[in-house]
Amino acid sequence: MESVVWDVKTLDERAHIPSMVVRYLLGRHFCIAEDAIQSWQTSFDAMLRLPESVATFYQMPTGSPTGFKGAMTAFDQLVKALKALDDEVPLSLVNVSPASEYLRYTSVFSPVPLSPASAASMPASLRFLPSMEVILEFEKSAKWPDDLRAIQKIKLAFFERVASGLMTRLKGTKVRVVVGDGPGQSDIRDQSRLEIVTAEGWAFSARIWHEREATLLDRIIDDKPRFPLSSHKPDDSKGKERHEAVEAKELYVRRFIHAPRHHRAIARLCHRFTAYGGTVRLVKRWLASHWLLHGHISEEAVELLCAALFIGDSRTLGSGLTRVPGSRERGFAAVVEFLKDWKWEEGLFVPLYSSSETSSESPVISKVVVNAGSKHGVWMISTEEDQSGYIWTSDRPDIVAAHRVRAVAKATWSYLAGVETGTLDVKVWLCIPF
Amino acid sequence: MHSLLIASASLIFFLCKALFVHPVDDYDFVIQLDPAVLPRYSQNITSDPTVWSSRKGQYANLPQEKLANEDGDIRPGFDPAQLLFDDFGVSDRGVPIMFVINADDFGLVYSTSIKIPLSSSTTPLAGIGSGRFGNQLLDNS
Repeated sequence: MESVVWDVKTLDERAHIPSMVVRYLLGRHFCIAEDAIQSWQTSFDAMLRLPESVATFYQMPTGSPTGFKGAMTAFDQLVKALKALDDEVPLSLVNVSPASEYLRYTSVFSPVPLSPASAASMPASLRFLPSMEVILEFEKSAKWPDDLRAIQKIKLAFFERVASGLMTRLKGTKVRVVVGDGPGQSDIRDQSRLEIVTAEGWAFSARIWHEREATLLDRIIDDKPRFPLSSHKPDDSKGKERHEAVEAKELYVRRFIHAPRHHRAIARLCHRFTAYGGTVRLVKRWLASHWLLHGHISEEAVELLCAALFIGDSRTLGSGLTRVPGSRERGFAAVVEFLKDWKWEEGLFVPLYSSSETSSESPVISKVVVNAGSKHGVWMISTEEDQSGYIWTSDRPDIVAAHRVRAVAKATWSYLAGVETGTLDVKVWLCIPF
Repeated sequence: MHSLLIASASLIFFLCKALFVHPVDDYDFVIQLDPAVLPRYSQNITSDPTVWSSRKGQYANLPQEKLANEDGDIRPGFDPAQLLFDDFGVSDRGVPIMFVINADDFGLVYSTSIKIPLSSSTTPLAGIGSGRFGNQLLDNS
């Protein structure tokens, strides 16, 4: 047996090794020239890269890390700097958890830092810098106030101390405290964060997780009237406060409980299945190009859908997939095939947190009741940690968007089938019919 | 035909790219934003490199003034198109049933089942995609 080293420069090229082997064998045994053999991998690679002319605007020191590895290195350096701030903040930092697609190999584009030198010469249409979410967990203390509004103020004080410490320790780092998530937000919900831009140009958005918030929010939500209903006067302020508490609790659970957990599980999947990360990136790119990602479908929901093809029960999926996709192109096609036939009214279970190698038995999922005109999400994607299935799909996609996804998937699948069988009409190349 | 399809790398690239191009014919109207000021424009699958390689040419009718925030200040996560889309989403106007966003376009689809309580309206008269608008009194039901 012999082993051969194939010369590859990027992570994308590593996935091309099987086709390199096939080209070599076809050339050796059938005398077929290399330029007579084409594969689709390079074309799909191009969908996940920015135009080449963009690279000329980035001014980075030679050898400075970029891409997912670079982002993770920057994250590790940030964690090290944060944990060294024990003297500057009143409580020790126990944990720093990432919760960003850029730190788990599933963002559409590889992250690239945007240094101040690059930004100064860059036109506005290139100046987007993704911010990577991280969650800070401090040691427990009885000194936190027992009032939700006061807790948000204390968080600001913590952020101010951390910001001063970071800017002193990491030269060139810019740190800002950002307050508010938009207009009309209540003051009992988590709404402040620390915006950190390192000297190299990596951006992070840090939030503080305080467990007591959940208990205080539950108190407001579960607050029952003390007097019998007949003598209870309707109190608009109580209703408004309860509504705000429900929204704040939903945000708290999604942001601080599920997001870091989801991140760890997805990162594990990327390591377990080499094609998974690329599949997610292609599917996100496809949904985004059809104007559906983020506005109608969250990034986490896409990651769960793709995970279903790798670890889900094929009987539940109802697909003909008998093997885990070995390449991202195959994974992308499998997801498209699934979406065109998926009866989302029946929900979907993804054993994302199962510790065994084999997928666990799917639990019985109750049918999704769809009301016309409802603004709630109709996709129910449940996991072991989220039995309801609505953590990432609570308000989107709605019924119109869900039908849209199905239509787009059907058209894309027909197109792929036509290309594969050579029966594609030339006129269809211009745009996929819907 | 089949051998022609697989013979050219550029043809394969074109075929692949077609999977990611979105037709806009289904929308009642499409709002196009100025790509020169959108930080994520380069991520558009059909982006035009001349927008960032040269500021001249694409929109000749616009004055060549300094673009906002051209001092090079970095604003992490800043995506004005997405922010505008989010604002439309929380708006309670009840007019559009579907607002979608590309890197520089908005598409909007009307629902003819929704009545607008205005003395006159510009809703399509004859269903989605008809392209006809009219001024007529609508009831408030």
